[in-house]
Amino acid sequence: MRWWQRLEVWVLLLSTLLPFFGILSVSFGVLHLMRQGLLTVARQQSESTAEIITRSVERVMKEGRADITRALVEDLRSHAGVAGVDVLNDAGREAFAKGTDAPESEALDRLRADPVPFSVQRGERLLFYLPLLNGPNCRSCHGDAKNLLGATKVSIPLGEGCRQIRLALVPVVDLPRIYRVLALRFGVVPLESPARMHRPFGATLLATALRRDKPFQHAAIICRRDARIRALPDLRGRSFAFGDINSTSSHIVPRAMLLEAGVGIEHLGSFEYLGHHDAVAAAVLRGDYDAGAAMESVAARYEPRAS
Amino acid sequence: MTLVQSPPIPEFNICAAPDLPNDVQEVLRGALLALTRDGAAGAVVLETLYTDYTGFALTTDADYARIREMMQRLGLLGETAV
Repeated sequence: MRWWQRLEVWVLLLSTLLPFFGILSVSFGVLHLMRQGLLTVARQQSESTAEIITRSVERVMKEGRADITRALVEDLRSHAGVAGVDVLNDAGREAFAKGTDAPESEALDRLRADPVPFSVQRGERLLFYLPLLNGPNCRSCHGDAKNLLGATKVSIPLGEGCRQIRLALVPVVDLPRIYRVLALRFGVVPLESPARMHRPFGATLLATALRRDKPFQHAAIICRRDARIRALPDLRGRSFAFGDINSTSSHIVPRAMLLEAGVGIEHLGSFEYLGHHDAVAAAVLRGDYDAGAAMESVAARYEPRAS
Repeated sequence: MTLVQSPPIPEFNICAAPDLPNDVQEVLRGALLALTRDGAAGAVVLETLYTDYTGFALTTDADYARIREMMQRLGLLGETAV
């Protein structure tokens, strides 16, 4: 073969192979970017899942009941889309296991140095480590010595593709968010009286909430013990605190009760809307108003402090 | 201290907008009635809505009639709202 013939072969080969490799590498690049994008989305989704799980565990732990915490962890583990949930003590040992080894001591060391949640990808799983910090509710049992009490470790699989993971996670662990969105979209507005909400917009009643298993509550008209008020008619000329103007138990019902006792709004010395039930109870307790209206459970909470 | 306590007041409810299809309303109602504090997910949902909530029950418009009458007597409902 002559030298120009060899050159011809090389030129032919290069002109065929270069575009081929070009297309191949660009395709790989695009696929890699897509995969990274999907991974980022999956990581973000999983991050909020891990956070919701940790918040739930924290809330139950504050009750001081290890058995309920363990039951919750078991329950969370059984959900599809979550490969594992562990509560770790500050040494990195699984809190509910009897073994003495501490396989996660490195993770706990890292959180002790900097108590910021972090995640690592291990094979087909994303592992999230979120710190359980010593708060006011924890100190009665755990004391003040440690800032970090332990951590939750949430493992989320990446196996069947990021999209599926994302779809699987939404119904399993994001229920609170779904319900909140549904609630806002379809008209639960706790500050509005149910009676006002319902009719004008032609809405359909779906269900009523049960407060400690009961479909009703009570309103209370409260005053300080030293206010020399013995019955509702004594409130004539006195100052009165309501909650929100649209609230059933801190405005509508108490005002109807006052009216029934012969005390119209015009007979009160003065009145104001303080917004929240707690604000009413606190203001009456301070002596800012002679009396006020709040839901029974709030009044009961402030009762021990009443003079 | 509590001077007077009111008669029972019906709890907050969940309503559906009129343009929400009936079958979706039924699914939503079923999901709400199925919520209990026993399962972890149910407990989290109820806790998110309100700390004292333990579940949901069926209700009727008549349960809220007395409150509506009170609002009317107090002039808190407009003509169109009744």
